Amino acid sequence: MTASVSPAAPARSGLLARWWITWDRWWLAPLPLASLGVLRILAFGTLLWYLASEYAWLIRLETVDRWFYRPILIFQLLGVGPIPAGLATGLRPLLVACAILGLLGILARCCGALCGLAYLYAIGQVYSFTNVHHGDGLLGLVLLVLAFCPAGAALAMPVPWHRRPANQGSEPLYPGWPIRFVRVQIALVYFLAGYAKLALAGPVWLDGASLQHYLILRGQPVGYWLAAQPLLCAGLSALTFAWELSFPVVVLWPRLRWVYVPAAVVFHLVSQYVLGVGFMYFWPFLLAYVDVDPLLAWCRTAVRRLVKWRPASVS
Amino acid sequence: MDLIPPPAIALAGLAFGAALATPVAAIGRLRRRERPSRVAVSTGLFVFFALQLTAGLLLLDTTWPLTGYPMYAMHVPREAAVEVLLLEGTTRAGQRIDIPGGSLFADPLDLQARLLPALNDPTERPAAAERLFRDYNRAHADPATQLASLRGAIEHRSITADGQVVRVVEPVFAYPAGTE
Repeated sequence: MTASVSPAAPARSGLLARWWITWDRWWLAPLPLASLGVLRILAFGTLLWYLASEYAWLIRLETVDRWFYRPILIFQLLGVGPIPAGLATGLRPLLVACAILGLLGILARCCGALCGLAYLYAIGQVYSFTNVHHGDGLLGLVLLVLAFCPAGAALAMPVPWHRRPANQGSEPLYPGWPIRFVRVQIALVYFLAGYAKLALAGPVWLDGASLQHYLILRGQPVGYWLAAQPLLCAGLSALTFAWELSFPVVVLWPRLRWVYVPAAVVFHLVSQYVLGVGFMYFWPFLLAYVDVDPLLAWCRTAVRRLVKWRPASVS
Repeated sequence: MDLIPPPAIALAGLAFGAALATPVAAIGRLRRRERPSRVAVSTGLFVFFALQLTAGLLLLDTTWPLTGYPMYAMHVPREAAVEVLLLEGTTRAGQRIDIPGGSLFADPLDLQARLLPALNDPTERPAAAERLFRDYNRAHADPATQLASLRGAIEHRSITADGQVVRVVEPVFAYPAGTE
């Protein structure tokens, strides 16, 4: 009995161990530290945009009838009630200050944690009073991710109390899981949106009737025009369906991002225009698919040229 | 749940089971003296994406921030009509105003998603109308801009085979009653 079990056990644990090695190798493969700086700037910049453009709706909720409040699951589990009067107003200056500090790379991890939790709370409140929407979660998740990595170590404003490592000539690297987290999550969002259409409607979704329906529901002026073009609606539906379902190939073959990522930006801009659905706090993170190395090299070369050019022009 | 294909349910079950089992695997990795920070990051990532996949495959919405993405996914027959809530009021200053859906919540359709079921039910309609009326006035401090009466209608929008949008408006309530 014992003899028949014991040879299998090491084989199973070996398989599991190999799985984790492969998993870690992919997620933790190094990336330039500057890409983390870019992600931090994107996240806190997007948060500032949210605070300027939509935070007022959270303040408005303080006076909305409690009858509208139907808490999302996590709020039910945590026993979170409707937002107390004055909280959103009081929190605003703190969030703006933290977002600016985070943008500059000062106390970036603390700011990421605080802003991430506050943002998720704010959006959770909005969804508990209304409905769950799908474009807002990523920003909160990215802010929380920044709390777990050296988010302030690159492209940050120098501060006297933080000693930077001496420049050793080569580009500093770090385990690239935060950038890959964003890339994989975005790919999953699009894939799961395509999957939902396949599961709930099937290939008949491609006939364009659903798009026509949602266009007249949203009632944007240009949406009415588009709804009156059934062939165009069918074509756009088919394109969207294929693009969403196939988006994860970008993670496997990064060169395809030059097709998929611009298409995503166009998709969101068109959606904003014809459906009034913007995903404003989601699509900026598509920039995470851009490798910052060549961009930074170009910037450095441009700065060097500028520095060389100035004395010559002065003399 | 009936609409989700069985293979997707099975895959979601596998992903959920893996998410639950991963912390146990992490204990084993720590016992093998792997770096705790490395184990924490790789375990956290695995659990997160396993749960995301579970929610996504089961098209769950209430599990936000890990959800499915069923937006605009339902198939709607071409001849089906959509319902849009239209609100109109008369202020205490006597001015008739349109009240856009986006005046209460950021997304104009959020208000009707919450209110239409109540407004379509004659027993709940008066209370829902009163709530809306009071809520509007609470948000407007200036008495002149507050409402003296509020009226609601449902616009049924549909599209014909030749692409014409047809709109039929059906009044549903007036608050206070008799101020139509």
